[in-house]
Amino acid sequence: MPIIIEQLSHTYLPGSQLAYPALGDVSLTVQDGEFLGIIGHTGSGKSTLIQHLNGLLLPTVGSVLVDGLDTREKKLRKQIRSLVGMVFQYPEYQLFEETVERDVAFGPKNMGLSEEEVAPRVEEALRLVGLNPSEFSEKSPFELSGGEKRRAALAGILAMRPKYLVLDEPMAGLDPLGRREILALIESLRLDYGTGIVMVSHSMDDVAMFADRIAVLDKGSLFMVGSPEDVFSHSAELLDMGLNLPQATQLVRALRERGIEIQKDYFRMEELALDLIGRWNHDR
Amino acid sequence: MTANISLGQYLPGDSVVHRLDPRTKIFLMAIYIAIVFVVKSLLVFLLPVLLLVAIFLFARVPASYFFSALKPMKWLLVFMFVINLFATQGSTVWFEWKFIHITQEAVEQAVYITLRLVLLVAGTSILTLTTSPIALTDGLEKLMSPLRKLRFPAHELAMMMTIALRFIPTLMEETDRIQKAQMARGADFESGNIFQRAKSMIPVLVPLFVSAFRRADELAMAMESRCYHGGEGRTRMRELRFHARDLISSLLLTSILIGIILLEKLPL
Amino acid sequence: MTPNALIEIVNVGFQYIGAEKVALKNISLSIQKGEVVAIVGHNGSGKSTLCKMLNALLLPAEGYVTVEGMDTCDEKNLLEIRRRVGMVFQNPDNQLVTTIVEEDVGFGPENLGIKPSEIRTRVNEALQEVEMTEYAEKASHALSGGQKQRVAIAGLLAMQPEVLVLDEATAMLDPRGREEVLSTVRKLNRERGMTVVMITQFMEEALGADRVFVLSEGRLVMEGTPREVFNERTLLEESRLDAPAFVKLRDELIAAGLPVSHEAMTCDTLADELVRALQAQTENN
Repeated sequence: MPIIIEQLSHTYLPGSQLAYPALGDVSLTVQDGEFLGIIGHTGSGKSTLIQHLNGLLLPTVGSVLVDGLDTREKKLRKQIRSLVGMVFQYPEYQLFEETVERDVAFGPKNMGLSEEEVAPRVEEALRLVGLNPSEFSEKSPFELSGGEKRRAALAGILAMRPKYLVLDEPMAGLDPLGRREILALIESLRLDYGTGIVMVSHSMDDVAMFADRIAVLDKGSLFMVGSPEDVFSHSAELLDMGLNLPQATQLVRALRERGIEIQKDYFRMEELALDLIGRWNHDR
Repeated sequence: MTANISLGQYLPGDSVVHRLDPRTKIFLMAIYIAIVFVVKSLLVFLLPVLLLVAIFLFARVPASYFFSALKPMKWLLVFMFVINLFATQGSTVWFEWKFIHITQEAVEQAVYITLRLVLLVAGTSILTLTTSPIALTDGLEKLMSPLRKLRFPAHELAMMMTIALRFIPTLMEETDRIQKAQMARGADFESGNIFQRAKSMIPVLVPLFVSAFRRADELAMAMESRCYHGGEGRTRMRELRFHARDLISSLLLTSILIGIILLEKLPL
Repeated sequence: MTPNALIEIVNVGFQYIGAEKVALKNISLSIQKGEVVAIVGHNGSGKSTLCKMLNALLLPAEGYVTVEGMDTCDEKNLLEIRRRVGMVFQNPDNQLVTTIVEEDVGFGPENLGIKPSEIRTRVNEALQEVEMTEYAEKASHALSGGQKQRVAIAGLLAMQPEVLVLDEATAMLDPRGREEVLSTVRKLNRERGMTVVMITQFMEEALGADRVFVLSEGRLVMEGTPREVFNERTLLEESRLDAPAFVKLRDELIAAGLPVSHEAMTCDTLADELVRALQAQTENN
C-alpha cells in the first residue's frame, strides 16, 4: 500500500498575525518501493511536505494516509513513524547515547521491541551502512569521523526497518566519495529490501540519476510530478523557479543555443555522451 | 517564524522616545518607578496615569500593546486585588456577610496596589518596546563602565548579552529540529509522569548541548579571526550621545517626581 | 621563497593533541597577491587545519607561516595578521556575533579601535559591496544562508583585508546561496584585485581558480592550474576526489576520437568545442 497525500495544505501559526501558508493543495502518492525525488527552491515547502509523511506535522486541510493509516489519528502515530523512517539534514546532530550500539537501538526500543529483537536489528543496520559492528558498537558516537557519524545516524533509522525512507539532503557536506557511498547505500536499500525512497535534494544530477519520478515544488504548490524525462524537458520553467538543471541537460541547452539540434532532453551524462559520439561517427 | 524573538518586544520606530539615549531611558524608568511608588492619594494617582498615556502617545505605541503587556500579568493582578480587598483591616465597613468584611480602606488599598502594578508593568514595557536589545545592552554597558575600576566585567557581561540575544532564536530552531528528529525515531515527549518526561528529554538535551558547545567553539574562532581581544581599545560604531531631548525629558520627569512628593506632603 | 608572496607556508607540519594521525605533513606553498587559489581535499584531508594556519588560529608545530613577511608564531603580529587575512567559515549561523546586520559588519572595525564615523562609512561601503544594503537593519538570523555568508564577507571587508579565505564557506548552502557567495567573491577579485583562497569539496568551484592545490591525508599531493590538476584523474580518485562532470565527459569524447580541446572544462567551453568539431566535420563532408 502507498502513502497517499490528498489535497494537503499546511499553514504555520494559523489564525495569528504571523500565519504563514507553506503548502497549498498538494496531492501526491508515494508508491511502494519507488524512488521519488523532491526538488524545489529553498522555501518552496519541501521540508513542510516531508514532515507530513510521518505525522510530525499535521495537515491544516486535506489528509495523509500511510498504508491506509491516517496521520491525524494520535494512536496510529507510533506505527506510522516506524513505517516511515525520516532522515533529516545533518542527522549526525541527533546522536546522543554513550555508544553507537545504544544510539542505533533507540528507535527499535521506542517501538516496544524486546532486547532479543533489537540486537540483531542493530547489527544488521550497522552492517548496512558499512560500520563493522565489532569495531564500532562500543565506540562513543562522538568520537567518530564526520562521515561515520552520518552513517551511524542513518543506521539508527534503518534499525527500525522502515518500509519507506524519507531523506532530506542526505549527502550535504560530504566529499565526493562520501556522497557516492551514501547514494549506493540508498540504492541498495531499494533493490535488496524494496524500501520506498523519498529524497529531497538540491543536486539535480543525483535526482536525475536515481529517481523513478520527481515532484517539483514551487512556492508551496506542486508544479508537476513525472519521470525525470518529463520534468527536465521543462528546463525553462525550472530555471525560472531558481532551480538548477542536471549537467547533461545544461549541455543540451548550451548546444541547442549554438544551433545543434538535439531531439532528446537528456538528463544523464552517459546517454548524452553516447548521442554525441554517435553523431560524430555517423557524420564520418 | 522566530524572526521576532531576537528583537524581543522591540517595536522599531522613530519617535522622540525611540530616539532618547538608552541611558536616559534607564534613568527615566527609575524616576518613573519612584513616582509610581511615591503616589499615595487617589487624586494624585491621576498624574502618573496621565504621564503613562502621554508616554504612549509620544512613543506612538498603539494602545493594544498596553493590553498585551498586561496580559501575562492578569492573574497576578486579580490575585493582588482580591487579597488586598479581603485582608486589609479598616474601620469604615461597606459590606459584611458572615466572616467577610469589606471596608473602604480595603477597597482603596486594593485599587492602589493594582493600579500601581498596572502602571509599573505598562511603563517598563515602554522601555523594551522603544529600545532595541542592542541599544539597551550598550546603555547598560556604559552605565556599568565606572564599575570596571572595581574589576566589574561590564564589557564581558554586555558581550554575553549580545551573543545570547543573537543565539536564542538559533538554538530554539535547533531544539525544534532535534526534537522532531527524535520523534521520528519514536521518542515520546508527551506521555508519562514528570520524571519520565524529564528523562525523555535526554535525547534532545544531549545533542543540543553538544551543538551549543560546537557553536560556541566556532563562534569564538570567528570572533578571534575578526580581531576580537576583549573590551580593551575597542570602539563602537554607534556612539551614545546625550542630546537636548535627553536633558529636557530628565528634568521634566524629575520635576514631576519632586512635584508629586510636595503634593503628597500638602494637606489636601 | 617567492618574491611578492602574500602568504608563505614553509614545511608546515601539525598534529592535534591526542590524535593518532598527523593532520599536516611537510606542506609548502605560497599565495601571491591578487590570485585565486583553491585548496581541495577529502573530508579529513587537513585542508581546514591548513586554513586555520593562515590567520594564526592554529600555529604550525613544524615549519612556519608568514603573512606579508610576518611570522604567525609571533604574538605581536597577531592582530595585524588577522586584519589582513579575512576568514569566512562553513556554518553561516556560527560566525555572526550580533543580532542586527550592520552591527555585525561593524564588529571587526570596532575591535580594531577605529573611530565611529569611519566605521559607519566602512560598514555602508561593505554592505554595498555585497549587495546587502537593504538588510542593514534586519535581524541577521532570519536571513538565508547565502545572505548570512555575504554579511560575513562584508564584516571582513570592513576590516580592509588583503586576502579572503573561504573555509568551505559554501558547503552548507543551497545552489542559489552558493552562487551568491561565489559571484560576490569573484567580483571582489576582479574589481578590487582581492586575493582569494577557497577551501572546497566542490570540484566545480575550483575550476575558476588560478591555481589548485590538492591535499590528501595531510599531504600536498598535487598543485597546478585547474586544467593540469583535473587531467590527473587517477591521482584525483586516489585522493577520494572526482573530476568535474564536464571534464569526465570531455575525456570520454576525446577517447572516442572527437577533436575536443583539453581546455574545455565547463558547460560553455565544452559546448563551443563540440560545435566547432561537429560543424568542421559537416563542412568536410
